[in-house]
Amino acid sequence: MRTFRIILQIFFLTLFIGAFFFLNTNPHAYSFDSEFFLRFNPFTGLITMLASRSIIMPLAIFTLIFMIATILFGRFFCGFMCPLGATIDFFDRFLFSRMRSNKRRPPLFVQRLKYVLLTMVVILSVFGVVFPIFIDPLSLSTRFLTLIVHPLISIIGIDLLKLTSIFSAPFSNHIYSLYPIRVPLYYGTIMTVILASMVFIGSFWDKRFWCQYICPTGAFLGILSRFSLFRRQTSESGCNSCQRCAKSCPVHAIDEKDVSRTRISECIECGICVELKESCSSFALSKPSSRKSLHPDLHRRHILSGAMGGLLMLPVFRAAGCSKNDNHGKLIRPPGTIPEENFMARCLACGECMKVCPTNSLQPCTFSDGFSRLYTPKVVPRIAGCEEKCNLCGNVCPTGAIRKLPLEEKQFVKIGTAVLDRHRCLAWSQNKECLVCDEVCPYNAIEARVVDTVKGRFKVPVVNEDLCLGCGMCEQHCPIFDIAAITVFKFGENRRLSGEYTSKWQKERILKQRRASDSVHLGKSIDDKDENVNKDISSDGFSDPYESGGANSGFSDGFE
Amino acid sequence: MPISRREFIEAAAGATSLLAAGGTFAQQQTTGSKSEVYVGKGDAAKMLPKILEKMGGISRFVKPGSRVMIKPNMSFPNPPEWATGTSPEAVFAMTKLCLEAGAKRVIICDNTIRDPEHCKEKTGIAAAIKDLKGAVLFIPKQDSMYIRKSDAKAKELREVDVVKEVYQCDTVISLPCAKSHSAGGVSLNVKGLMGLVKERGAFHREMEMHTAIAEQLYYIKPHLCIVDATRALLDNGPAGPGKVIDLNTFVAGTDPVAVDSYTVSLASWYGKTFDGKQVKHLKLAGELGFGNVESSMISEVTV
Repeated sequence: MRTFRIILQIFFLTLFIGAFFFLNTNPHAYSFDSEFFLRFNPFTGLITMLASRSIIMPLAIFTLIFMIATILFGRFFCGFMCPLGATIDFFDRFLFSRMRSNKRRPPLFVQRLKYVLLTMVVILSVFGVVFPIFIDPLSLSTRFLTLIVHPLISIIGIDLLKLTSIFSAPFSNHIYSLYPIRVPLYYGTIMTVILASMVFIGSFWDKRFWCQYICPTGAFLGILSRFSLFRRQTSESGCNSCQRCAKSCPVHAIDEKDVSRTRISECIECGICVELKESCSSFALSKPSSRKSLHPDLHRRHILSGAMGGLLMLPVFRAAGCSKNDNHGKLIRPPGTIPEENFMARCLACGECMKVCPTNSLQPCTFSDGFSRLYTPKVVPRIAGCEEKCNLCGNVCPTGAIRKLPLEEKQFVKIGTAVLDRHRCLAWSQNKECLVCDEVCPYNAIEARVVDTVKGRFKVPVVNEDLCLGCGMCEQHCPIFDIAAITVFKFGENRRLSGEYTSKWQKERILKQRRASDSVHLGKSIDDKDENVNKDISSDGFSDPYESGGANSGFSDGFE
Repeated sequence: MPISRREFIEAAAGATSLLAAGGTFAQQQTTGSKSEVYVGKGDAAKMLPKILEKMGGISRFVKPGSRVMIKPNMSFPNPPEWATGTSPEAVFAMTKLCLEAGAKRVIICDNTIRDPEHCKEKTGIAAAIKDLKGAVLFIPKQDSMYIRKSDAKAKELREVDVVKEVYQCDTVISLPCAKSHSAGGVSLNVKGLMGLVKERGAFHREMEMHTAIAEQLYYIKPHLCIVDATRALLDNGPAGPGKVIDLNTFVAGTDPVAVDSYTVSLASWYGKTFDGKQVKHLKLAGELGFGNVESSMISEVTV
């Protein structure tokens, strides 16, 4: 059974990492749910649905399946499927095995801690808050892969390429053109590394420290598996009370006084006890009997303390979202994100959206965005704009915190508005030839106009807020150093829980304007209100119209 | 065979002077005499071989076993109908010609403005060259793929990071599309060279842009310049969407300035007809001696 388990663990870990790295790497084609694995944890499904008070469809089915399976077969998820558990097992075996000593093992009652934390998380979700920092081993694993492993691997890859380019640049360039490596970098890497090490360092004290003492998912599955039919059994005759099974159990699920009794809610069905000696114990389908099983030593006060903890945490979460000046206007959520309150009730902060983002524009929120928003995604336009022809972040979101939008719909979702700082802008303040923002704007929201600036008549960019979707291409490419002259703020963002973002009529109008804004270049303004629109904007970039005899005469003369 | 220091210095000096002489000779050739511009109407697949045949055969530019760089326009992930990028048919035809001429490898290289993967796919260029063995799409996005160059003659663009591959290829073929440009007027061969430069912001920020665009020719000298004027984006360039007309024309030559200058006269940009020398950066490039911008100095060869 143990070998079988290890094979399955390796299989699921490979599946998980494989799905992470090889699905949806092609940014213009949504292939397959790379997040399918994230739905396997029934606890997150339940919590997000409870917090958002809605049935999230594909998630609900998986939640139900895995809940029933846990009720029937116990905590198989922890022992067989959990990628975090498998990784912890790996570290337990190869890194911490020498350092660990039984003397340092926490007393058994500490196992209660995870039930207290579970109560806290549940209470929070009753009030509509998902505390995503640690509840789910799957989103934790995805987050570590996204924010630590993926950047690490790509940096190593690109540095290897650099090394090979010393010997043969054509060869290294050839490899690069066949396999273009994207190097994603994220905010708060050190924070994430500390968080990750907090998960794994526990192995110094005990095997599967995280799973035994902290993981609320483990606690939830433990409660579900109370009546599981698949459980450890001992043969009365074979047992000589050597207690080796109790000592070798990594999660201390076997009572040391009476080894025939199992703490069924702790047992992760790893099969180590069975491996010790065939005749003693086995795993088989059997009726749950109270005589053979022990239940967690929980009292009302533990539950109450958890609930109190949850209630005390509530203001912390509310505080981050309540004040009007909470987020410096730069907390731009990816397109398709549902309204903030609903979003905070669904986002698991798994980081899948950040992983698939082709431009590296999606970054984890840091403490400056509020404690409760930690690791939730935001668009950072200065790093990169949101690609117009991409809707991957919504496609991969496991809980629907970012909606799955068709590409045509996504191209009408406003996530913010670009604001031009005339004091920084090269064209406005220095009269230098620059219309990079106009060049790169995918929605034609920037018009070039010839206006009177403080330094004279010049061709300058002007933002058309009706067309601007806040994608941030302009901010990314603005040639001004440090703070761009054109920056995106979140005002004007269009966030909906359901339904279309723009009416059909609006869409038609916007499409017409996107096409029509070249009429400005042709000498007509959209609404003809602005007198500053110069009829001869076209001629700029060609030799100067104002030198050679007036705006209208300069060009047609030679040809007619 | 041991070489004495004197011999070495003599040889080196000789070689240097020879190279210098060659350089000035090449310079004079473009400024002194008329530049030939080859113009043909038709499909890329049919027209490009014809044009090159008229120019003296592809073997004049591509030697067997050489590395060839083709620089198309593919900065924006727009469909070819928008005319914001070189048509995939033209890229395919040109790549095929080079490969048939015996090129060992054809590198299609552009430092795209938008996300590279999207640009590869949506422009249709990746799909077009997929089956051509020996052709690769190379979008240099790493600093290590650039080399810093400086030229004492340049006034504005005194130093610039250029794709290393430019100097490692035997032939550089510039294959832009015909499009308007909000800041540069038009974006053709000379302006298109910015696609081989790492940091374009400095052109706007620290330099007089038109001069800097022209001075790129100090660093990158395309051996063959072909404008793909299958379609022309007449306004709202370079990203579109704007007014597109079908010209179905290819303009080729060895003088980038002359080719650009001729192409300008093909269509009416922003609703007006212009002469090549009215485009600031082309005029400057002509003055700097990179080629002929005056229409009187361009002889048209119809193919």
